[in-house]
Amino acid sequence: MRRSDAVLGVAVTLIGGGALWMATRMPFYSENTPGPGFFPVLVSSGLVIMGLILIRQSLRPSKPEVRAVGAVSQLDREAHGKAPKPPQGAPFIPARPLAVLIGFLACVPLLGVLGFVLTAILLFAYLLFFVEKRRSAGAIAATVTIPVVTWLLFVQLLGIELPNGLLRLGFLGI
Amino acid sequence: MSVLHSLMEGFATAMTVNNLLWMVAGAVLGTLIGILPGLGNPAATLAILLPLTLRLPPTTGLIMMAGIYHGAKFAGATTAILLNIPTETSSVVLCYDGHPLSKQGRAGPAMGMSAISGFIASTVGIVALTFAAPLAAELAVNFGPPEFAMLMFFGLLLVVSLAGKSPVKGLISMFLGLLVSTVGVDIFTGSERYTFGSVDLYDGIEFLILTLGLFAVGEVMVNLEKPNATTKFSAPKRLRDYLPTMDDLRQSRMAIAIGSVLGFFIGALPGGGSTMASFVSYAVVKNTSRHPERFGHGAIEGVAGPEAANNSEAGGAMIPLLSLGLPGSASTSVMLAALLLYGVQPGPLLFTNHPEIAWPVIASLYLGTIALLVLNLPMIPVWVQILRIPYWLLYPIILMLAVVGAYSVRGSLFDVWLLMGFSVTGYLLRKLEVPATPMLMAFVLGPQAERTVRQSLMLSDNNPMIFLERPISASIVATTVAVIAFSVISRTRKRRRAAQRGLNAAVAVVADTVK
Repeated sequence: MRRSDAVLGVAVTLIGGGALWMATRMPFYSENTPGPGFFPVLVSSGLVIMGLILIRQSLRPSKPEVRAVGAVSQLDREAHGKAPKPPQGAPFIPARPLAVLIGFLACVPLLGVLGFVLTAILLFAYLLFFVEKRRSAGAIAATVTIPVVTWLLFVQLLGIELPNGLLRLGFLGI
Repeated sequence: MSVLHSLMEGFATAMTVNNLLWMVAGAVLGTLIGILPGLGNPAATLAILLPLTLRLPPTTGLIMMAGIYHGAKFAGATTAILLNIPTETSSVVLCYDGHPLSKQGRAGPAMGMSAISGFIASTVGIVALTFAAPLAAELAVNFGPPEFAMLMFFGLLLVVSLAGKSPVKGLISMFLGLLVSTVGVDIFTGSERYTFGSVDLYDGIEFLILTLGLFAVGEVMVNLEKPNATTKFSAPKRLRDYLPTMDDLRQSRMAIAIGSVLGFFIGALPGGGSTMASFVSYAVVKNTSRHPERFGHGAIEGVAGPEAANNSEAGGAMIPLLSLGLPGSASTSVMLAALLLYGVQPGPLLFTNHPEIAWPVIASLYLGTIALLVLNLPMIPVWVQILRIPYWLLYPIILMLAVVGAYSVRGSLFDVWLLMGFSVTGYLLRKLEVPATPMLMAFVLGPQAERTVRQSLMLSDNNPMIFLERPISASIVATTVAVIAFSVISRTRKRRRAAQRGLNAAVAVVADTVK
């Protein structure tokens, strides 16, 4: 049994089921024409069906792959959309991507408070100094200059608004 | 006045020094701005530069817009191939084979093939436009909601052929994309769907948010799993490695031909667009290839076919715009706006009343591709240097630009939260071996698919046979069934052959051992 496929199948079935429940509260047909619930019902039903099929597939014992001795299936080579195979016993999400994800997620509430430039500097500092452990002069320079240059390019040159901070210091959107 | 004569006069007008300079400026600006996430799609780039182009005389302004359009298209291909970030919908399919080519150290040939196949296809598109415009306009008028609905159905089901090993996971990805596309206010009835009471979701979810989350950030997370990832890819060392080889061109000739023809016809349909053209082209090229298993792993035809469709579509898209006044895509909508601001009404009389505008615009589309080839082919070694940036520095820049792109769409922090959600989703999809491309494709095609199906059922008084009763629609259904049947049979045969080969090899080994 492929556990990850079973978990995915269950998750998809639940998402599809929830979406279907919400879709059935919209009119499927209204005034003799397809209503707002028409497409969501069809799509969420499709999701539920696919989820159930995947659960069934994951519960079947996997067939041994028939292969010539010494041959390496081309499909086993790194494929687009497939994460590299982790070593035995490795966590589902390794530490480094998890650390980056946490830092990335922490940006959003800071954007509204500190503004884009300060938040980006903090993000760079966290990623370069803490996650990547790079403390060279180049890393320090990049931490400050890249966010500032980006702000100048987008806000000053192209007129695209970026989040401003609450400090209202009057420069670089801080 | 003959068509050829009018076209030659158009070239003569477009090829003045002043017009050529503005066209080149447009191509360069379009490429530079098109690289930036949030601004990368040609429509956004055209819109940003509209204040500049409107200051010029109408003919010159429209010629510059043709340059910007091509520049932005090439920029979309550049970011998709190098960084797996499609900044516009028609570049999504380039991630599938263009980015793996980049990882194999063949970023230059991929980008070169993008430019060359685009140039060849643009030529085909413009030539076809010149001579087939009246006929194509007539055909386009016969395309109604049922035909569009079946075309969408064709595109969506062909997604399965892009799903890789597991069609079920491909379909799951597709259904997820369709579900996300229903978020927002229903255009027919004004009812809210899946908004959870949030005003920010009334307008639905923006394409760029989904793209950045699923592709850009998702890719970063997966790459970070490799310990001590430094420079991600190797940039080519020799100058000739920056361009496609003769073998690449030979391999891609059918793909370019298929893409050019498909792109032109789909572009000619009001509402067709380069997105549909590139998706359908990729699927058809893959399904008609002798080695479909190479697609998704760096097949050069997987870049040539969609890029050809993407570029010949420009010629096709001019047909509904110029002859019917109907924009075929977001980019041509901006061009329509520009024409109206210039006081020019596109429509059947445009070629009669304003030939001095219509023909130079057509000529400039062609010249824009030449300009791009001349400017961007030598620039490929420069763009590829992006790959030399150490990864520990490159990925924070990607993450920062993702936030900028997400915020710049509507100036809303809610969109940045959505980006976070889709980033986690994108990473989980990769970990669970669910392909993200079908989800993105379904998200783009979903609204149009829904709209046309509902319109068709309204037209036919809820009789679903309308899709089979109309000849064009029925032909598309038949083509869809044939392509899917071919794909299934082909997949089954390959599996049986592989199993047989393995069995034969195992028997041979046992026989040797017994001897």
